[in-house]
Amino acid sequence: MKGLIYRELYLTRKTYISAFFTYLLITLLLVLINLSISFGNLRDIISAENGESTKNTLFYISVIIPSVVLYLMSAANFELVDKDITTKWLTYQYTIPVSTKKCAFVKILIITVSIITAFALSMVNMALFCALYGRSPDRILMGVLTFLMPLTSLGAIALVSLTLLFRNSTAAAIAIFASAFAVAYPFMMKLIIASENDLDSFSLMPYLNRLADFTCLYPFIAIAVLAIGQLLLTAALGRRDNYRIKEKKEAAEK
Amino acid sequence: MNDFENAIEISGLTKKYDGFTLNDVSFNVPKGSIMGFIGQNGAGKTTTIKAILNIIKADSGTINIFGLDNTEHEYEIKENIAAVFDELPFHESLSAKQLERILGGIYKSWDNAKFKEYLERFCLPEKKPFGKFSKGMKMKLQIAAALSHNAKLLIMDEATTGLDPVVRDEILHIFLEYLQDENNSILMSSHITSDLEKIADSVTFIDKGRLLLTGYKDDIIESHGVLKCSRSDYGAIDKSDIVSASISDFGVSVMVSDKNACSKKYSGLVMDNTTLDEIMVYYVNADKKEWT
Repeated sequence: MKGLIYRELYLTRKTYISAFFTYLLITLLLVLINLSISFGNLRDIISAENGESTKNTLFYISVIIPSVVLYLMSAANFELVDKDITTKWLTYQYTIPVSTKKCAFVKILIITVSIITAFALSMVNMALFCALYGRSPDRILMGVLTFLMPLTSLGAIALVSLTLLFRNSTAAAIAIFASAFAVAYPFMMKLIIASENDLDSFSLMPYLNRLADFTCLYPFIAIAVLAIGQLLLTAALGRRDNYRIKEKKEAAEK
Repeated sequence: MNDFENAIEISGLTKKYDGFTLNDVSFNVPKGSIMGFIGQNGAGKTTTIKAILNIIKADSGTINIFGLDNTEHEYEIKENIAAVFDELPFHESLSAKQLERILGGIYKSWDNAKFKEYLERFCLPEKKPFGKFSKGMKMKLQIAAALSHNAKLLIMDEATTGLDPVVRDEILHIFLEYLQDENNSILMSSHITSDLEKIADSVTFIDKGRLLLTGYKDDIIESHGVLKCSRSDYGAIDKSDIVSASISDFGVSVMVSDKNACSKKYSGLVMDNTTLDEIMVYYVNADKKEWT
């Protein structure tokens, strides 16, 4: 199994490294924008009237955007699955003395580690911007950043499983985006209607507050998603582990 | 695990697909030998190999490897098997150095020194990505990887197809070295019969999912012959002696499965020796009996 972990790391490290540098670059850019707003040229374009609200929005964007980039990297190895299929690695994998369960576990392990890394770095990012703004970490940000854990787990598992099922990563990505859109559509419509009815008093805060109410549950939901992912991936990898043994045992019992 | 007579024992293997059936295939690969598994494209060679490796589930039949059931003792068996395919199954961005670490973490008996020795012998660079390898280099790399975990059985699926004769010859030489250890065996599927004629101890012919012939190569080649005769002489040949006959404007070539008996029986006709290639062609046309 150790060999499979090395393999995944060798083949995904470039994606992870580039995701990390993208995160650093975006963070640096946002730090510069924030510094400019506080002390530089951008200070002049913020009016006294909406200055506080703009700064507030910028603070949230600064914490959330780099974190989203980090979380997205946890789904990076779905492309690897596509290559596994085209290079016939999957067929070769069936000839090695490692069970499908363990092969699936390695993929889940890599996804889990990348999600934990994304979460840890997003916390560092939050601490950085809190220090820059002289604010303490707020529950809404914690809620959003923690909510990304089960959400990206689900996305990564779905991408890898569907790529294996369809034998094509593009088809899998289309299926996921279509499903995500179908799920999000009623909520988006509700938001649009609410904002159209009363734009002045419309705020996302009630929704974000509700999201933050369940912060402590999200890590457990992520674990559950990954556990289900282990089962799904084992099935999707498509080997009939012990199938014939079961059949033979049943025949012998009869 | 050394206490077995046949490296592979296949009995009554059947697998049905839509439009293709691997039908009741049985043969053995004796320990310490190399078996050529011959058939046209789509004859069922890969299906049989996949069943041996437990990649596909057989509908019926049993497969024993090293005397053990291939599904019940799957991982124990796979620790001692190496499979080589017609295409390199490793990502093009990987290098031999990285592959060494990957396979070293998969096989308990992986031998780093042996792998390095093969890399040097095959002149394969350690750090160059596989994407920059030629087809011959890729095949050599697969073989180096296959032979570096002390596998007792090498299963090759059309592995020498598309390689130039020099590389093929080099690879065949390695196989003969590998067989110096009498516990090692090779099952080599190919439709290049000349390679198998050089090194195989036994051969199995398969066509349209049916087993046509299996046995020691020399026995098969020696027992078969081609009778050269005219159309009128052909009419006098007992149909039960004929595998199939190739009819042309110049005469008839008849493949017989008992050369010695037929030489005596049809002493007035010319009996030619045959090759695996010819045997395959005549057996593939055995259903038609006569072909042009």
